[in-house]
Amino acid sequence: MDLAGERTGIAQRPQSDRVMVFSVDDGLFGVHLDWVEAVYEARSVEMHRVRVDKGPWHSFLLHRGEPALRVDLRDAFEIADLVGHPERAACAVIHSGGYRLAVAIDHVSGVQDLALDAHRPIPSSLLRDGGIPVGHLVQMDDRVLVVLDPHRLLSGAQRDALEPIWSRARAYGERHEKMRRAWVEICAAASEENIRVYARLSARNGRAKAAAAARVVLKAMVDPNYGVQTNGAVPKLVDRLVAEILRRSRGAASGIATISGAPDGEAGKVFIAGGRVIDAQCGSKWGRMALDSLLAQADGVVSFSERDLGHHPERISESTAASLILSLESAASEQRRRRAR
Amino acid sequence: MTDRPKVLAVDDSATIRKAMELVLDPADYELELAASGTEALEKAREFLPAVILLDFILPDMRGADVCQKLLEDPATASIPVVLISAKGAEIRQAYDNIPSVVSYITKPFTPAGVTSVIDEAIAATAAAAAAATAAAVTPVAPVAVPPPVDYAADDLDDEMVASANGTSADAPDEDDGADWDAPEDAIPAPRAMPAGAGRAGLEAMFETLRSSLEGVFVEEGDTRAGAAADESMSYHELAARLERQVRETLSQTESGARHNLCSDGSIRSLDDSLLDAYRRFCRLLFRAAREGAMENELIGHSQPRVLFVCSREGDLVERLRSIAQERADAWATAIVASNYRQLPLLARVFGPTHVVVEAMAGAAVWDQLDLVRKLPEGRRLRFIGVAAEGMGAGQSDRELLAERGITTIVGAGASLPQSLADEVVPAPSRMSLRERDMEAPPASMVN
Repeated sequence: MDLAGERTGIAQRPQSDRVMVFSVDDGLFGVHLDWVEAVYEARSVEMHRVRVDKGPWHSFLLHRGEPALRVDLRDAFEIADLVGHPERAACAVIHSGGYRLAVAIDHVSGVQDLALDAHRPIPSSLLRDGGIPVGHLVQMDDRVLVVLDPHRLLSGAQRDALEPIWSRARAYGERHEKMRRAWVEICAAASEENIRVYARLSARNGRAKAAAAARVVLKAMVDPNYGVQTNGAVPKLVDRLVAEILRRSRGAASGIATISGAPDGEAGKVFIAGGRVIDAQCGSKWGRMALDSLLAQADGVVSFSERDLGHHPERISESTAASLILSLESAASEQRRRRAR
Repeated sequence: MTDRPKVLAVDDSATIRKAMELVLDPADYELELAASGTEALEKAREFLPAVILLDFILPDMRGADVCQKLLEDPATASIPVVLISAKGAEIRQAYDNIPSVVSYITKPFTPAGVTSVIDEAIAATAAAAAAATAAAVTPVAPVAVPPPVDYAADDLDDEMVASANGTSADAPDEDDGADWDAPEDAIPAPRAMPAGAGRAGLEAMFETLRSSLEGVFVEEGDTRAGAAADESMSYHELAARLERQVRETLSQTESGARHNLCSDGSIRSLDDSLLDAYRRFCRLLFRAAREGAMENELIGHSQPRVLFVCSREGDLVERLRSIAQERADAWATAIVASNYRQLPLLARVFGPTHVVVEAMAGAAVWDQLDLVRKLPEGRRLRFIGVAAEGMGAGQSDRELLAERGITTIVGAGASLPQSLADEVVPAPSRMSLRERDMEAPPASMVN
């Protein structure tokens, strides 16, 4: 949910006395609407994390390409050691000094006009640098609303501690954006260059499986002997399958790569039309899920037969390289789950 | 043309800029000041300083952004930057990936500390530049060069360059300069600060700045004569003077004049005017604080802060609300009659001095109040239990409250308002500033 004024439907009214009211630990808190940029549901936003040296991990989300460091009021008000760290359902992105903070909240109650002539505000006893209160309490009918000063959520010491983390998060965000651009390029037309960039940036941003998957695809693209038996060493099914698919892709071939003979795996097929993987089948699964399963299998025999696929449905839409990276990434997770079992 | 080393000091605080002027002008540096990142970039290009002192958070951009833009401009790329920060080492760490940042100055700083860091930065940069020149004309042993990367250079962020190379290529090695004979004129001689009273005055000035930066209001920065003169004025007179001075200062800012003939007949620079306005404001503030005329949010919490915790059922909540309204001038109050899970966070923010709790509030309340007791505020917190009237229920309530460690118990009957008033220490009454002017006419108004 984006709370920019024009989308709330009440943008015609002056916002000078309006606060966004949200709930944390069943308590009502408010922040002047002008300083709230957005509210994200926790389940719908990707949280990233960084740390400095061997310090604790710090979560953040990327809002309009810029990091917003996650802050829980329990941490900001230094009671987390006493009452613990809860899960929160949402994050409100709030401007605070030179930062954007993702304040962890339970839910948004709405936007409220604040009539301070009727409700005398009481300054909080929790003071920030310069003796400024962190907010004011306003007794509404049967609830207490704590209107926070967005710029005093953190003390000077807390801000200083966050500065190196913010720098890391920003570097992470920049890499994330470059990764996104590289991925768009890979999906349109994969090249050694954009896959290499994607692999390196993924590794730097802690996405080890994506990086490993991209490296496998890259190696298969540049090494003519990749996936071929050399010096008696039998390559793994995944290497042979990736090499086979990319070889057919380069040759703009059409046909079906068949995987069979796996002792504990399922037989399957990869459908290639004009050099592009358009579908896969493994047992009862089709499309990307089938390709994931085939690449996660430990062993098997790969054979390819050229043929015209006619009007075979396209269940896989990305480029061959992109679909392979995605499936290898997923296959790595699947293998990990199997090992755990 | 001057041989004095050029220094550009960038800080949005007028007092810090003034302090830099006080330190660096007498120490024979050619100083230029900037108050924002944009101004800093402009002046860096025009002034081409030997070193830039940079506050790491500016109103329009962050220190890192300023450094980055300096690096992008060939004219300013080689200028060393010294960070100014209250958390020097930690902030320096955050700037590890910016090669131009060579050192930092931690607030509070001393005049000698500032000049020493500046001289070191200038010397190190001169040594590195001379070494680069020497390397260009002297055959050197082959150096292992990493293979070229085959993707766009902008894919390499600074952090990655630093981690790949171990250190930045532009940063001088630690050994640089140890065995190397630099031309004598490349390294400026260390500069001495003026000795004696001037030095002591500067130290005092810095102590004042340090305190103000930490949010402690400082009276010491004022002159005795100035403070004594203001003591004889009414609040109204002080505020009127402050208003006039700020108006003149704003007008001076708009005109861009470095000096201004003020209405009191003096000629002042803009920095002088700002500093004087700051002093005058502090005088007004201290006096109001000392006399207890201010709201408590800046000077402490003389007013009791009473947190009422009760059940939404029954009539007690309405009665407590009515008591809170009656006592609004004497007590700061907050009432929680539901959603008790908010109590620890709310108590932390509100900072109650007293918690008035209904005996029959329920287990959920007591669990949360146990947490409240453990908060930093809990140590000074007084709990007052409200027990039902009558022998049966009243006795049961009192026993329950005693089990919870609450020894101050008042009855919920008609005497409740008075009982609470007796238990909650009333705050001293406050007068408005105008009332104070009326009650005690200042010396200047007495014939």
